[in-house]
Amino acid sequence: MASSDQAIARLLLKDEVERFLFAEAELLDDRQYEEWLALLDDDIRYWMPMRRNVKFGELEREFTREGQDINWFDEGKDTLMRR
Amino acid sequence: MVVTSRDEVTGKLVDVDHGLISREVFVSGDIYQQEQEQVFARAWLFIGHEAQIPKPGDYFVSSMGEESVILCRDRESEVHAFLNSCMHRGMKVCRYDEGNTPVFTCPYHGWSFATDGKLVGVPYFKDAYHQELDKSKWGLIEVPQMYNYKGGIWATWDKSAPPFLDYIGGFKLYLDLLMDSWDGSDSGTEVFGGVEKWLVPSNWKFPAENFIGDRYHNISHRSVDMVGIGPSGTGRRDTNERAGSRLLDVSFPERGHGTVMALRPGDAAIPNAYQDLPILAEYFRHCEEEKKRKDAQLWRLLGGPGTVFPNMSYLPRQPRSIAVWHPRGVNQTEVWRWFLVDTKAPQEVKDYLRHYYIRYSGPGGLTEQDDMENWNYAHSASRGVIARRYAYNYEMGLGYGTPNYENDGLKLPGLILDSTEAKAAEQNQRGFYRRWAEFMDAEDWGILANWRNGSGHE
Ligand code: FES
Ligand SMILES: [Fe+2]
Repeated sequence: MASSDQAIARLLLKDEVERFLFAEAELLDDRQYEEWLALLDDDIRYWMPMRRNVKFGELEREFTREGQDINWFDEGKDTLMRR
Repeated sequence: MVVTSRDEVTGKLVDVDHGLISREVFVSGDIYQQEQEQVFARAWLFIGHEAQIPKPGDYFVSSMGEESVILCRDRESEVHAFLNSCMHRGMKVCRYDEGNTPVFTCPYHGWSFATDGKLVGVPYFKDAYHQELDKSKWGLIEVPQMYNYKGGIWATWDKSAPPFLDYIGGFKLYLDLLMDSWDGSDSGTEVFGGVEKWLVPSNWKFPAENFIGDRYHNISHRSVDMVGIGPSGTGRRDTNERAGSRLLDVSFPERGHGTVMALRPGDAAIPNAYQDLPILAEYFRHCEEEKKRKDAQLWRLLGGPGTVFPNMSYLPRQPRSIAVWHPRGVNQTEVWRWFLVDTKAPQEVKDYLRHYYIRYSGPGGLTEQDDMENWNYAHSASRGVIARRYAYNYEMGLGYGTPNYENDGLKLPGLILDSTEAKAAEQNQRGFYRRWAEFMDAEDWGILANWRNGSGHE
């Protein structure tokens, strides 16, 4: 019984996450940037590493490293607000 | 549009004396093809930084014009650049972006090449080749000339090209503002890990001429200037460091290089700049004091965007980086961007600058994305049969430069146009295309090394 409760809880959570993402997309489509920004936590971190094509066995080189290398994005709420 | 004989480009497609440049130069496939031969196979090209390959066996796959090259360090720590194409049937011997390896093994039939380029392994050497293949003749093709200038690695496919320092000439003074440490000591810069690579749908010359000195396009960066991402929290850059300066456009038309920079007055004091973080402000001040103590006259020079002919552009300070505009067909450019920092800068300063570089540059950077839009649509709106009938206008500031510039006792090399009051000029672009036309027309380096007989005026 417990496991089916967990399954239902997971489904509900998935539904909540989906609805949040749709609402977010809606705000952006409507250019409601202030409202969209208000959804973000103050300590949000927006980070996207760069990817390299590397040899099998050298996978540690596949992505540029956090806090050390150049990345496509590495921003917090302050920079996101300026955008 | 087929260009066949000498002097077809100079004066006709490129008429810098009247500030007119045909759109064919940017959109014609035939000219593009000729450019690969005449420009990219002969000029010195930037291929990487020694900091990318510190250990024996390290390699970074770079590019010269359209062609893939392997920049690597062999077992004896010697640096080489090889054409990344197997001698057997042309397969790319190295398909990765970077790494470390004892040998490059061709994925097609398995020939293997050592990191010094020698062919060391051939499958069925005994059975199929009957040991008759002369391996010593089939190593990887190596660039005939390479030069490590303060950590930056340059190469050319032309053995008759003049040595790198002669190719750079008096422009060295300005290039050093990029390659030397901010405190003025010789070299001492390193690159951050990660080279940004992305495609722009425009001819490679749009970005090359933009970086050689387009003060005129400031208007297109107005939004980022308004929100402020610079190292003092305002603008896209911190302009405090050049308060009271003259703004100079510097061109070397006999070589094609150019830069726009600032020159502080002879009695300038060290300004307050880079105020976003106390340790950053402190590092800036320390470097300025050191540099001024070493040479108070040269301290007055503040580097700005520049281009080394043909396709290496740079920003020496904000954000400090090197870009190469690789031609990828007449309508496309692959941009590669490396970011530099003083090796001895404190870690917090490196971290601050790294973040600043990222928010400024690249396809996601707040400033660089404006430029992409301009080059993309300028190019596509110039391709049509009607559009290409009309030349672009490069008249701005024609004839206002001087080869004998002097200010408060400092003489500077190059053709210099003071754009402080004028705000913008196109002298550097004219110098670039004058040189480009010479490359397209000239048969050999005997003609191209024209500075040896005193050329250098607009
Ligand atoms: S193409 Fe490389 S071994 Fe045949
Ligand atoms: Fe720009």
